[in-house]
Amino acid sequence: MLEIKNITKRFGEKTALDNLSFSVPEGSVFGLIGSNGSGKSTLLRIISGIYEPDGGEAVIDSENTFENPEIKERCFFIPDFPYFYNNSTVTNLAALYRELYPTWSEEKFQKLSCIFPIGINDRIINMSKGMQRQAALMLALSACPKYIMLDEIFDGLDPVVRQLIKKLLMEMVAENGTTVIIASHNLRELEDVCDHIGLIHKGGIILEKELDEAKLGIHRVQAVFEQELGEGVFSDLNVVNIQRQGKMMLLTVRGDGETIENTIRALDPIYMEMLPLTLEEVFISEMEAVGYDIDNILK
Amino acid sequence: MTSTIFSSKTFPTFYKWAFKRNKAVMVIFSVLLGLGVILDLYAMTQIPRFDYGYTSDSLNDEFGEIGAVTIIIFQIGAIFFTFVSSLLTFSFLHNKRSVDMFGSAPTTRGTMFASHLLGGISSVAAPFITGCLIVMGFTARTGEYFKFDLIMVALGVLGILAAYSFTALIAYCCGTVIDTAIVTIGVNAICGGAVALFWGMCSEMIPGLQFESIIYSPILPVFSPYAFCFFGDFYFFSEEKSAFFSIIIWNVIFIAGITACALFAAIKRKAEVSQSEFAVKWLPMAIKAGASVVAGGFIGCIAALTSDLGFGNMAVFALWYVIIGAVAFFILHVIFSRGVKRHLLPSLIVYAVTTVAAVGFVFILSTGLGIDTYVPVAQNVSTVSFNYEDYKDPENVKIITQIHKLVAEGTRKEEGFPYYLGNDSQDYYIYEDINSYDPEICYDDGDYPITVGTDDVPLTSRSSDSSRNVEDFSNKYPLTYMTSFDFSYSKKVGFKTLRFYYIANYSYDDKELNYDYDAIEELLQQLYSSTEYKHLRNEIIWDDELRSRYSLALNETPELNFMQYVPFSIDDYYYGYSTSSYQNVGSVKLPTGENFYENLFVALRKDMDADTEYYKTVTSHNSALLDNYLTLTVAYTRKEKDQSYYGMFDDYEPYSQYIDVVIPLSYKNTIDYLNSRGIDTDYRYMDQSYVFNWPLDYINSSSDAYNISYPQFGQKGDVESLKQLVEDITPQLEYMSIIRMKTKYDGNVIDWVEAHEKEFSEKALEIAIRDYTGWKDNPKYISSTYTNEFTLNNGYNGEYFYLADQIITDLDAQCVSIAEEINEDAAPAELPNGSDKAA
Repeated sequence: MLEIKNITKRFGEKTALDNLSFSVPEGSVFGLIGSNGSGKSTLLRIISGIYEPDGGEAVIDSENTFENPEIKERCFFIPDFPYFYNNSTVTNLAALYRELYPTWSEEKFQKLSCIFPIGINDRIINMSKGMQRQAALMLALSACPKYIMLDEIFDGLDPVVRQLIKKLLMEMVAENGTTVIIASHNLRELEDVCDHIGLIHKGGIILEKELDEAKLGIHRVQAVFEQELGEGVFSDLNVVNIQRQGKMMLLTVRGDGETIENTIRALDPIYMEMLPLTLEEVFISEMEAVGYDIDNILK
Repeated sequence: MTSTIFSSKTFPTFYKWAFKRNKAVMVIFSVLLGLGVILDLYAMTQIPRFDYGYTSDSLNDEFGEIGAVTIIIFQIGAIFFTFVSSLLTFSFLHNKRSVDMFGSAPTTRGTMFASHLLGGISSVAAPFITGCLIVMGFTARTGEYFKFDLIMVALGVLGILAAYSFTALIAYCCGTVIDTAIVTIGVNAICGGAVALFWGMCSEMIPGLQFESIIYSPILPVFSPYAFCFFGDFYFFSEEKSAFFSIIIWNVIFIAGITACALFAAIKRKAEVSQSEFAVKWLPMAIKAGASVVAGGFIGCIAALTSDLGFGNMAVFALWYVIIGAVAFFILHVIFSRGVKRHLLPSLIVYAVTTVAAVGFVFILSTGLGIDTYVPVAQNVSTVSFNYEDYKDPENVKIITQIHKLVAEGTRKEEGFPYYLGNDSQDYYIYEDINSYDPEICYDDGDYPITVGTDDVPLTSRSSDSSRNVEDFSNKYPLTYMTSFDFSYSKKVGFKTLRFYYIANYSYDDKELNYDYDAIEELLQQLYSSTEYKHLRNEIIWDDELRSRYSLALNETPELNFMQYVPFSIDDYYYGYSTSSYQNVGSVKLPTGENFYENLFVALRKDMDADTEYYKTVTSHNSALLDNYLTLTVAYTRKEKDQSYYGMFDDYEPYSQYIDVVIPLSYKNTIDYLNSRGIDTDYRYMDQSYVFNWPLDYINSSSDAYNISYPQFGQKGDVESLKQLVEDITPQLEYMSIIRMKTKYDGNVIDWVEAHEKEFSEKALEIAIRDYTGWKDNPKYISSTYTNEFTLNNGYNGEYFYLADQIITDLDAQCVSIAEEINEDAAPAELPNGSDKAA
């Protein structure tokens, strides 16, 4: 169980995380999403014990992660730009991690060496960005951590490798009960793997739910009415957004699906359909709700 | 915490990681060290080609010196690679990506710091120690050199530890590698520079303080760990052993302190400062301010010292300080702030405050701060060294404080008040001239320093060596001159107060000085009349500097442990070598097993004052100037010396040692004993003209500041020690050579030499040929004499005295040419002057 308890982190005058609290259930895949500069990477670094929070704490298995080698042995963090020395190879880094992580699996390393299309004795620094990520992930998976933090892990990877990585992560969760936290803007990929999401904006948590619940809590309704209706008719609903195309209306509404459907049907639409929402749409909707939308940015 | 750090299972992992990280540094350093070893071996093979006059021991010394110099060069390499390696090792702190990698690793920051520190240190120290041990294996053939080398290796390792820990601390305080490099260099330079500047200004402005005293102070490199090795070597080879031990103790404390601070910084450092700000916000401001003070101060001082505006020089100082200080400050500001605008206002405020404070302080310094007139209260003083003689008697201490007070008051009037930086207000140039070895300055204006036949105590004479009146043996005031007063108070509370005053400018007859001469003279006469003065401890046996290299070898001889008091330093070696005033005029073979020394000692004791354990005699330098003194040089030769290991040097003489004893001719018992042993002292009297090189000795000795710095053998000696020495070395005795010097001159030495130039050359040539041919015929007997004296003739001393230089040059050419002719015919069968041959 990972708990974020009232974490505050400041960089000089700027507050990157402001009294942030949420928890990540064990064995879940948690997608950390948010606007640029919202504090996702900072949060991952705090969880990994790199940054010391100015307030609050990141707790894993009931222990603070900062300066706690026993807890850090259960965690592996792959940052958005993994670091490798000039002469680093997968082999010599494996030698390092083998000594650092008691859970290191040689068998898994050998297996992954065959799966990933990279030379384990080649200098990593000479590899492409995507291959460097694969190398980092190969090492992370071989360490068999209980918690794995991935920052923008899908960047620079081709679709096949992305699928591969998602599959491997799923296997690890299934086999080891690993908790995965992925910070990414690639919501499409997150949608495939995450069962929980957390939405951060300006250092605060906006949303932290199971993905399905998050998606179920907000709905898109496409409806056509005989005459144009004013927005006031939806006052019983928690409408996030309304778009009009003549008589057709596209509503984004927060709340229970059945209630929303009944309410709209009561207005006697010619046509009505409840459309599924993608994570990206949920994100945009939620962010709009806090004033982070294109219109606001352009202003 | 320490145990937690080192017991962590990740410690060895990151130790290895850091060690491997420095693989390139290690390889390059090792290759360079290897080249050094090869060059060392090459140098060793080259020595015999230049001079076959080496003895086995002197060759050992040459090898030992090559090794010692090599280790010093290795130290320089070690410090350079420490800088590079430490920046490399801790560069992981200055890259956001590597901070992610190392920060998320399952270890503590303390372990991460310690493992990187020790891994990095090992990567530099391992090749350094290995290289030094290899060099020592080749070159350190005597225990003494082995000891020197070991100490230098230890200094090197301590230096690596200090510099590495220091850079680690700075690395944790900085956000980038370049800032770390600048701050590391900056702190090392600024701290040493600031101390030197501060002390230099104080000594330039305040009478009595001497800049020279800071040279041997461990304060100078106190926050300059990168300079530690070199200062350590410097202090070690100097006679300032207290400074050496102080700096060692300080450095150990420094390493512990700085490592603790670095550990603290490692734990507290915010990871997010990498690649950006300084982790310690005030650090760049402090460096900027320090650089401003040191740069501005140095240039300001130079400008003021070369000006001639009197107190107006202070304005010159202030002007240059402000300009150069601003330049230094804002260059660093642009570097640290990556531009001009950031932090500009606080920087301007800091610069202004620093400048006002520094300039203000210098003006306050011009009042002397009370230091100029401070004289310790006699009751608070336990001992005082006055002009290099130690006094304990409270009455004498009181007299000396009174002298000090008069001198301080006179100086205040003489130098002007308030004091200022200027080329006419300080003593440095006087000091320089006295020691310039330049006959033009020392002698040509007609003032000659020796006073003849007088009981007066002249206070203003520029240069002399002897502490006695050389002509008037009955002179009751031994000091014939006084160009300076040196006070060194040891207080009862444990502190020392040092003051040094040059009380005269060049002019011997200058009576315009503001000193109360009469009062000082009266006090001096009281002092010299005291019982304590008459019984001041001096030595009657000392190491002969000419042969100090043999003494060095002797230190290894277990049965002669007493001789470990024999001083040896680079200075002794080089300068001592050039101060010979001896001529070997004969030798006597002593019966094996005879307790010659013991009997000699008995005779000596009869001649000594009964109540005196030490005899007030003269130093070896003065001996050349003294009449009525006999110098005995006892040479003994060790027979069992195994020379097989020298291989190609089989023909060289065995192991020799010389000990000199100087006695006055009034020592009848001693002389009678010598005569009874067949040592006819009268026969070996030399005419003054035989002592062809004594003017050299005189000139060399005329640098009184230098002579006084000579360590004297036997400092710890007493009668029992002497007796023990005598007993110990008697069985070793095989030969004894008698050296006799008798010099007489009337007035000006230079006049005498010039008047006797022709005779002088002829006699010198005669001696040189005699020694040369004697050596050829009797290599085992005379080789060492030959080596030294012929080398002397070759011009080792020539640089000090133009006249002698010319004579020696001519002599050398004649000597070689005549000697070659003689050799072609037949070498003389016997040594001149009735000297016995070796068995």
